[in-house]
Amino acid sequence: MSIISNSIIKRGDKLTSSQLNAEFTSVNTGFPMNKNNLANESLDLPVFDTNNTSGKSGIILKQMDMYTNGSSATAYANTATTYPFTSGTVIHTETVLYTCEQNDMLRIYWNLSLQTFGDSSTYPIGSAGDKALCWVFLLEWQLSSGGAWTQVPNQGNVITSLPPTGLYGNNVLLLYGCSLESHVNTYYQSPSPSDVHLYVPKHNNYGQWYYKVPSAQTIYGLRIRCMGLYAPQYVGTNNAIVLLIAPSGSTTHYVTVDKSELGFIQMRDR
Amino acid sequence: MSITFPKTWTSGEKLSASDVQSNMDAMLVKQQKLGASDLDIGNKFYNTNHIVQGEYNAVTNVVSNVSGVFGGQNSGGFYSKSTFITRWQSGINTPTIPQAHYIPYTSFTLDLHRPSNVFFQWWLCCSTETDGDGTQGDGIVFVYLDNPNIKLGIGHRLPEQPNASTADSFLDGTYHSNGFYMQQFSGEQLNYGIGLSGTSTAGRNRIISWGVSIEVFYL
Repeated sequence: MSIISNSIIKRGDKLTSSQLNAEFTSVNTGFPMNKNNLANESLDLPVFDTNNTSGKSGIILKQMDMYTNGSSATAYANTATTYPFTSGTVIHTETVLYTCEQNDMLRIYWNLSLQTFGDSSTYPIGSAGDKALCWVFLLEWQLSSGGAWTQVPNQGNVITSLPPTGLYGNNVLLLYGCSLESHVNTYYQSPSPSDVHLYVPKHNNYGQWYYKVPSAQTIYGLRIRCMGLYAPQYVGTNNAIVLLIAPSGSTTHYVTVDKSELGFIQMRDR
Repeated sequence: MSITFPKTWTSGEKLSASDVQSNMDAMLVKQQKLGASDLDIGNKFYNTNHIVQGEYNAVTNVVSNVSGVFGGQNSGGFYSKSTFITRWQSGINTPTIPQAHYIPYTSFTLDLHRPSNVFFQWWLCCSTETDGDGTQGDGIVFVYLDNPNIKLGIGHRLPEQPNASTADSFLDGTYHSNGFYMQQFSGEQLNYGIGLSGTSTAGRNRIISWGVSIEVFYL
């Protein structure tokens, strides 16, 4: 610890040149100052380098933005029989510019206002998985200006081949960057026809994705894309969601999103 | 870097006030202009023990820290602290814009002392049995800031059980909802409310379990 003692010259001493010189030069034992000089101090908000207009000083919070989209978009059930299938519908796109350093924490959230439509007879109603038909809302990003859109880390492409079945979809362990939305509530109610299909009035969907950035990167775009219809199925050795194929030309089953919100938070790891 | 003193005395030399003053001034200059070499910058000076301790409110479950304000509330389980929206409060019988009301329990009252960014989240599970009025209504949940009738963000809908349904309301009148809202404040906000409000065209949206959380960042 750096301490200046001022103890060489004592009251009543005869003042000598050596003592006097030593008294001054002893001040230099105070350098360099270290953590012990501040051991008993405390830090409160005024000493931090805060931002004058927001909480985004970069000490903890780097970015927090919320984007709203009021444009309606409709996604129809896939009818293509071969890869790459129907490409789905982009629900929400934002052009952004976020510079991320290694170990930054990303938190992305989305709210959707939507409604699903269909009937009680057109495939994939009647398929083995029709008790749990769902739409997938994928979070995708753009890591170069105007470049390709890709799924975020830990989110797989949901038209991945699932051997050995010839089916397409993805393992549920690679669904961290998406939200699923039930297409129809199906329940048993006697007498025949035993299955009742209830399409829910307008409601909402919510998703979130967290990520610790492993190395510096810049994000140029964020978007939500919808694909469907999917059903859960045990494939090979994994639980998966599997893309189903509606009849050619069919537009019976679809989902309409009339509003969406996308939220982005970037925080320092420590 | 240490101080270079302009005066070094020799034995028998007369002590002058100006020489003492010169050395004192050298200390003064250093004290007023410390450089990087005067500090042990290779090691951390501060750790979390130096940060002023936060203040925790055990009733609201909110902690106010140097870094911001953080907290949450939840219902504690099915029916232990239920809440609601109803058309009887929304004034739907007067065909104007429905009046939004606080959804009981789901709000925070905050004292924000600095420019900040606020992140509010919620989840809820709601059961809405048919009210027999011949229409299928719904409750709509909003986020409000300070005024419950300021309906922010997407309205999150809680549909009523269909009128013709013979199923139990827990089968086709029960939905979950999640949502978030972000807000930036450029200055101090005292006694400021943020939470959920709602309107309804259903007799009773029974919110049987729920949770809300708040994150306010100053830094």
